[in-house]
Amino acid sequence: MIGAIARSKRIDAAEIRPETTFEELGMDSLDAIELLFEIEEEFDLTVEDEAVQGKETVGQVIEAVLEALADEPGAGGDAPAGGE
Amino acid sequence: MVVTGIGVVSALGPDRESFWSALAAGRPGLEPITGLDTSRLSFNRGGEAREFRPQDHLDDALTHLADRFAQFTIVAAREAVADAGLEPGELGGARCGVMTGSCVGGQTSEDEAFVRLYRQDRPRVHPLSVPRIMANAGASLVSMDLGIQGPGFTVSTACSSANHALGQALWMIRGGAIDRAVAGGGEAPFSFGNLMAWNAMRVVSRDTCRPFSADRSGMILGEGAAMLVLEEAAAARARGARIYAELAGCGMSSDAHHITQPSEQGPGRAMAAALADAGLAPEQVGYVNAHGTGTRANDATETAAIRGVFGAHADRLAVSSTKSMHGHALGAAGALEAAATVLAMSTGLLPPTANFTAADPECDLDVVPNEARAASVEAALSNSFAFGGLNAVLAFRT
Repeated sequence: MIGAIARSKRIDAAEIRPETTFEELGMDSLDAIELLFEIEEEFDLTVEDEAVQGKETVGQVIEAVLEALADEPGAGGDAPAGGE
Repeated sequence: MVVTGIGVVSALGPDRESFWSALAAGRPGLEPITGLDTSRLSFNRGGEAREFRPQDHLDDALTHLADRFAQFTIVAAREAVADAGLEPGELGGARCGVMTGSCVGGQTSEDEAFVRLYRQDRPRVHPLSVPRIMANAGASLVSMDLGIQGPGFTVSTACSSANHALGQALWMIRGGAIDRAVAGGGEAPFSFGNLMAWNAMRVVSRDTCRPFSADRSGMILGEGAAMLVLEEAAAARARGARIYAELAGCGMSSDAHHITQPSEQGPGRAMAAALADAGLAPEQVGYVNAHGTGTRANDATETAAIRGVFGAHADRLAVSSTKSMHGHALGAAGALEAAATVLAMSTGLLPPTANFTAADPECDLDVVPNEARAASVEAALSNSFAFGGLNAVLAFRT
């Protein structure tokens, strides 16, 4: 996930730490939904809106994604993300 | 209202200069389509903007965000503003508008998104799909790119979209709502799904686009964008701007007839309305940039409509279809043709109807076959007639 952020924002992955906030990375809401899309594609899972709402740091989102992975072992990608 | 800046991306090249030099030479840019597999299409030719490379103009973030049609629009708008001798900060902020035409919007992005869903059975589409696909993306991104804070909108009236957009820009400046506009249209219709839809209409030529020619067999799709800077004549003169021509009037009409068959009366009403709006007598017009799609029906009907409006003067008009060279760029067509018309007036050279082989008694106008013609004209019309019967004609004065 840190790699995905580093790629999308063109910054060194080493500069991204769990406590780094998305604001510090200059990420807006559009960047955030792209990042979630990449995570969902990478791990073949669906991250619900509620799971990541209010999350401000990279570490918080990693935690939420890990929880989603635990809830959805072997996620098959058959559950579409919440509506438009 | 005068035109002080022109920017173009087209099958003839990535800028205004390449566009005009090809039109002046009568050199078509309609080639076998290379961007996608055409084996399931009955046609294989198109006017692709092959020399356009987004990375030559746009940073990675904007290239990633903007569909191809919006990329064209941004690049054409930048060129038009630079050509007008203006910096983005000098456009006038909230007193400047941006109006674009687009028929199919972010068709390439839509096709990609739905291939993922329907064909690859992926569970989700890219989250930038909506802002990429929306037909107003061109106008929106131009407003952001150039800091235009006045009225901005996109008109979608199929093949007349850009003329409707340019007409609205003219009327908003004339009415005092704004002082300046960056207006035109952009289109990138070469997605497989969209080409199959055109294939099903049976209006695309298996040969090439030969408007008004006896052996014409249909249109050829094109892509690109053209944007014009429009401003009040007095303001343009006051800042010492180079003036290409005056956009003197616009006429609009609806056929109220048939969803695809052209009519003679609707286009005739639009041409007459454009002349009236510009305060021009038919006899003052020397050139008509025709809608001239190259279909059997359009070209004969347009000929009859021109004869109906101009009477005996129709035999003294030069009428050409530059779609024979840049292709039919749908929602951008009117903008490309407005650029062609204005450049023709300012250079005194009328672009020809290319690919013309033999006269058709049903299209018995002087269609400037194959070779450009030196002529200075006092006034010109640029016709756009749409599927759906919504017509818009622009009138220019030297």
